[in-house]
Amino acid sequence: MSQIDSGAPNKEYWRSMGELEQSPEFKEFVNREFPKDASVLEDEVSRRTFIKIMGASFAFAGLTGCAGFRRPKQIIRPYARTPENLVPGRPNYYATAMALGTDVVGLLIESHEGRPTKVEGNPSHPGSLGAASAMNQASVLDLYDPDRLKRIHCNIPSGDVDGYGDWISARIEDAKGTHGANLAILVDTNVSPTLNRVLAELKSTYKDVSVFQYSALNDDNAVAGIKSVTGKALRAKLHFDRIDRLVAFGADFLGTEPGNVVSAKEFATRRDPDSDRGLNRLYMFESHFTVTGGKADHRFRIQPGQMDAAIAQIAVAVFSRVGNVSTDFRSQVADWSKKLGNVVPAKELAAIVDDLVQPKWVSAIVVGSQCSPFAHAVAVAVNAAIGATEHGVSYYPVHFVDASYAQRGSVESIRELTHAIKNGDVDTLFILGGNPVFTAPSDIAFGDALKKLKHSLHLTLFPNETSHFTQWVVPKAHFLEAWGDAQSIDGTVSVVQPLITPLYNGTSDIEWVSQLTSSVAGNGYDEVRKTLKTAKGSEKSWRRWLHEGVVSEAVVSVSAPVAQSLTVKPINEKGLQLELVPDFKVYDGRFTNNGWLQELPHPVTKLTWDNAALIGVDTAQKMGLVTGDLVNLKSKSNEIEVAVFVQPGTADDTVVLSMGYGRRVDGRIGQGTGFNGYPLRSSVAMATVGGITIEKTGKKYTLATTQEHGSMEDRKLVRAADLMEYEKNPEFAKEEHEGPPMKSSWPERAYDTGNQWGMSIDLSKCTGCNACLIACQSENNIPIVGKSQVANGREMHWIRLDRYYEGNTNDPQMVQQPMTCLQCENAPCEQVCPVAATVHSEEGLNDMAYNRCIGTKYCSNNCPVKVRRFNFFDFHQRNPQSTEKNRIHFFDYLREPDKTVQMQFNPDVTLRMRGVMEKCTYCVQRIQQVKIRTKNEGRAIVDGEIKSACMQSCPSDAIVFGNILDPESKVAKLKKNPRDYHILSELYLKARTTYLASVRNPHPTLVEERA
Amino acid sequence: MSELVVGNDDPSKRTPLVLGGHDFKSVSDIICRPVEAKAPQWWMIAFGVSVSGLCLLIAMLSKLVWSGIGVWGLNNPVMWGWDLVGFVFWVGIGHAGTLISAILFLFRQKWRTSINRFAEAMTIFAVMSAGIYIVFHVGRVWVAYYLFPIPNSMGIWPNFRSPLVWDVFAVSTYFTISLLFWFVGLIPDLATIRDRATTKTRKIWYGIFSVGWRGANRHWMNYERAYLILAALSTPLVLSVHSIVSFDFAVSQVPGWHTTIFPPYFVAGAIFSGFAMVVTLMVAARELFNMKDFMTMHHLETMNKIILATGTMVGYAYGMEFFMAWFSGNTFEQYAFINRAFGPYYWAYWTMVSCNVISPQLFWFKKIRRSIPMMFIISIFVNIGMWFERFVITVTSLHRDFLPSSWFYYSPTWVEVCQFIGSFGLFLTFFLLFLKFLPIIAISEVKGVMPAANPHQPGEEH
Repeated sequence: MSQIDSGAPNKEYWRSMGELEQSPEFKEFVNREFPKDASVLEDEVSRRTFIKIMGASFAFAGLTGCAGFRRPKQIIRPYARTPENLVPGRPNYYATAMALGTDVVGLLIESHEGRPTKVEGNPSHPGSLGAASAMNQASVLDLYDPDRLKRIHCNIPSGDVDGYGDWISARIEDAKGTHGANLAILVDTNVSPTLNRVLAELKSTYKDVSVFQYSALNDDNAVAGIKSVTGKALRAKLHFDRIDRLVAFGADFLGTEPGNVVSAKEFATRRDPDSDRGLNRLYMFESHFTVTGGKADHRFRIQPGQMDAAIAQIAVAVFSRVGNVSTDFRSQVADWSKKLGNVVPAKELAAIVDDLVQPKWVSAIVVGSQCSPFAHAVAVAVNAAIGATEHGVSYYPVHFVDASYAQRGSVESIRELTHAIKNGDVDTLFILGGNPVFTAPSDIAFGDALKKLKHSLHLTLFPNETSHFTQWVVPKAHFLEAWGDAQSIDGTVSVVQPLITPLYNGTSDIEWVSQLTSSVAGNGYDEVRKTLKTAKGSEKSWRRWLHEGVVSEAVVSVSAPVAQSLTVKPINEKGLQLELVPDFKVYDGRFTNNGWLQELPHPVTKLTWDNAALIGVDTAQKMGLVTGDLVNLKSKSNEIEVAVFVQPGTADDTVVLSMGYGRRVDGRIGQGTGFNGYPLRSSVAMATVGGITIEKTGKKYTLATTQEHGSMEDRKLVRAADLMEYEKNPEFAKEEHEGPPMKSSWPERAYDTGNQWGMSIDLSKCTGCNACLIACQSENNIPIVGKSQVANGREMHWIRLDRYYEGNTNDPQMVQQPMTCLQCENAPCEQVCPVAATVHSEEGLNDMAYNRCIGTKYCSNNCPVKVRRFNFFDFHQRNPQSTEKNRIHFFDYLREPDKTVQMQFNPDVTLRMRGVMEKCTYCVQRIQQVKIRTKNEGRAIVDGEIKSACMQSCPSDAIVFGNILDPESKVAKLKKNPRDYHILSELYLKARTTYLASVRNPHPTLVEERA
Repeated sequence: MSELVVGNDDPSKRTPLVLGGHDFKSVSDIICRPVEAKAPQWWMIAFGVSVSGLCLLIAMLSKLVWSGIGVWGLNNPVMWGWDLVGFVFWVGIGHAGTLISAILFLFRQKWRTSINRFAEAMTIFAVMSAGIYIVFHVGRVWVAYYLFPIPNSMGIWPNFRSPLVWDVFAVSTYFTISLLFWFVGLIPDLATIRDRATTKTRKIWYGIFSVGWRGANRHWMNYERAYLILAALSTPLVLSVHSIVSFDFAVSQVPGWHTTIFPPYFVAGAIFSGFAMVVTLMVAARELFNMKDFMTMHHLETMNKIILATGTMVGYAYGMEFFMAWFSGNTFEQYAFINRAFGPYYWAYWTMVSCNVISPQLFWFKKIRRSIPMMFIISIFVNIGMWFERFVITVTSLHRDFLPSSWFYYSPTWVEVCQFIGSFGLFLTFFLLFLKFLPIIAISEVKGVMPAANPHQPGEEH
């Protein structure tokens, strides 16, 4: 700066006008280091300034101390050793399998950082083919259920939990002393080769130990029936994809029968009228509407006690047309048929028999597990007669047929066991899983017998009725927590691979049994490997099995020779009767504490949180009953109080009640739900109970359904035609649009570039099985709301199945229509949202910005299909299993889902707070994941790579999602199908979800009858 | 002014608007008396009850915000229930005030002078009640400000296509204009009270709010200009506000909502309900404050005529809706209307028809038109009927729309009922405060329509 002062610069470089002019201000500016006012700070501090600055400092310090608005402190810990293949934020999938009775479904489990979050079907598993049932998918919620048995419990008054080890050792010592003579083990239906091997080893160690197998939902009758004709313990498996003409007797093979997932997969391939092999035709005889009955081309309401009459009548007619049945057998069936009387009208009978014996078709009859041995026996003969065994039906030996426990049926087992306990032959009983006290037939007082035991133990997932009667209750490992294996009916073996270490130190039944022989706690992994290695395979194949989830393919089916004579007797019940059926949601009662399944609307009744006694419309009218009436339902030996639900399509003079509800000992979810049907079930009448009386109590019960109105009110919502009409006019569905050509009030966007997502739902294929609903619930963190809120119309399911009846109210046809956000291009919801919280994306999605939503609910009012769901409350907080939250500040929420339940949440989907609207997003998180992945890999998205959760899980492949601009995509092709139609096309929604009209295939001679 | 005959039917002879031979002083005395005197016992009791109602409202709103909208009975198809019904009900009631103060002013309907203050006050308090409903019907009231076009870092604006945004502007404009209009009209009268004040508090407060009014000519000139402008501004609002409220329904596509008749139908209904409310309140007030000389039978009769006229329009609209539903050939629309009359909510529909269409027809009879008990009862009926009209429109249309699968029944919870009672508490609390602390009749205007203000020879009135 000195040259400025020098006053005589040689060259006139200047920085500013001030410098050029050498103004005094500039000189001062240059001399000053800081701006003018800054020097105030350097001034001697006055008392006033000091106080001022101090005051301000305190005030600001106080503001920052407003802890109320500070983010909660959370610690994020990195992995010290990262598990293999784990990228935080990206899920891994592991193959495993789930066994439910004899039904084994291979699964792929989505795992986020070690937490299994979602269950999907395993495409490479023959028991799944990529789909999974509602129960399979909901099982992950059981894993995290906070009401599970968490520690060993001792019911001995003076007992001490620490004495468990000693107690077990003492029992082993006892067994050594007596060769296990007084020891019995009761297992649930066993399909695990390893458990079978471990039990066999136990038997070889203690030769007198007895093993029993009991399951409330069993196929005793099927095995007994088939055995009576063929002399072999076999199970039948139908190949629905090959069968052109099918007659079903009480067989809900798309719903509650074992193998329903694959049955639905196979069946759906034949419900596509455009496929090469054409539509199949299903005749259904059933007492009440099932999802299978809903798909039937002809459905016959028939009392369960008359099922044998129907099958005998048809068998007689079939045998008269095809001759390869022994005359003895034929005459026996004819005699029975004469005694039982005719139940099928002549015209229908002629049509059915005509279809069954046509050599150009593969035809078969299928009989439900609930039906009598007689029905199964006759079915074997009929199937043999019409040649079904060549293509349509295969027979496989029952599991572990050499094992002692497998040679008895469930009922026989439990009766023998009870007898043995009463006689004192058994004084020590280990119950591995199950809940036999609750599910055993009422005439076998199994619970009372348990009290006689000297030593008893129950290995169980949940504390239940049975665990109240045993001395020791030990936590069982969930199938996602322990190693195991499972064998399907056709012999396919799958590895049950754990996804997580046991949350509550549970033990699997394999491990528990193995400790009895080896005296040390067994290791499930080693045991399973031992079984499978003995069978075959090296390390490499073991790894492949784990990866694919399947060990071996099906064993070869065996022949089922038909005997000369019929040895089993039919059931013949007339008058008011009860049919006890497996529950669609809670199975035999084991899923009652599963909130997803409880809130799942029953596919037909749409009931949630309860079961009820279903009574037909005419019968209810005759008895003066309406839905919600509490009645006393009396059998000859027992009675229960149950609510009535008037259900169209139920056989006259028939009451249908599902088993499994009405548990006395249950968790916070299942407590107080439904009515227990087991007391009416006896070992002689396991399914059909005759001599029923109904007494009104005058009391009322609230039943919560998600759909009150069953008629379509002549609106063209589900468009359907018979095959002949369709062939005549393939465009029939489109032509049902009424109204002038449409025009939008706003300029329409073209949506003609990039990915444009769309969906096609085939109503011909959809059965209404609800798998999509649970898939959606687990994928999208959808809360359950509870019975009272469902009764108030506030269920949160993003996808629902609309069920409509057509025709006569007493005997209607049923159609199902999956309904979720249609992603309209001209979305009525978007136009009315005042805050633009719901807007359209470039890819044609109707997006919800939860953070922007203020909850005016206007969008929902304007949604013509009412698929928007409003968070009336914070339903996660109101879940009975929620826990008090450690509040960090006042505005923090008061409750939160239980810590374990939180582990199930899909981290890719936001939890919605109360007061905001939500709805189907087409699983936008899945779309984004694939988009990111393909972008990283530098390639285009392949059709089918993005699957919405509903599409992924659909056992019927009715839902197809994809890019509608890609002409090669499956969805684009389906949208060109003549059956494709827009629902409510009058509103010009330009919905991205369109439906394929349903086509049924009735017998030509019966068409007029139905109309 | 010789023809001081009550109820003169000769159109050439105007009925006097003030009876009882009052002069300017007695007018001021009578109108200012409630302000200056100690509150009467009935007022104290009524105020106590109203404040309890207001507390009930506050309690219900607290419960609502604390627990969520779920405390109401709303469900999936019926996302709007008593909340929107209450909103439209209260907004509708407000309309009479604006109509009386603005449109009748512009049309030089001098009879309005003794009731306009009263009606305007009713408007403001009714819009406040309506505002409570519109604010608290949202799921997340703490972010309700998103409704306003406030610049924000996210660059998101309200969706100007949504009728609810129009509603926000319509109602807030309406409230602002009505309040200003009311306040401007009050200034000369506040100054009167200030000038008459005997206590210091009264002097200060009325002094502040009379904003320096001295009654100078220039003041009067500016005042009348301002009043006229505000009247002109308010006039379109009478039609626009309820038209826009009706757009909430008409712009949507719900069968039963999506009809072009809604704007005029809603405006007629609003005036109908508003006049009924004015009659209800006035019948009580003129009795309690002994102001029968200012709120004369002539006033009441004129209003009853308007009730009859608008009631008939509303009845016509009900009929036309059915005709259009049939004529359109639209099955959804047809079903919606059949369902109104014969569906699960048939009782609401027929309550509405009896109260709104049948009961006002009694006003064809002069005896009934001039009978205090009858008009009181009918006005109450109309209020009930108009509440049910909104219920019928909102709930019965929603509960059964396009897909029968989603049809559901809605019934309110105790929270909704208590909140509605509470909204009356809010309305009445403010109204009673108004009755006590402000001149309930426009003193200066009433003086203007007295014969003394208009010294003409008899028979020279126009």
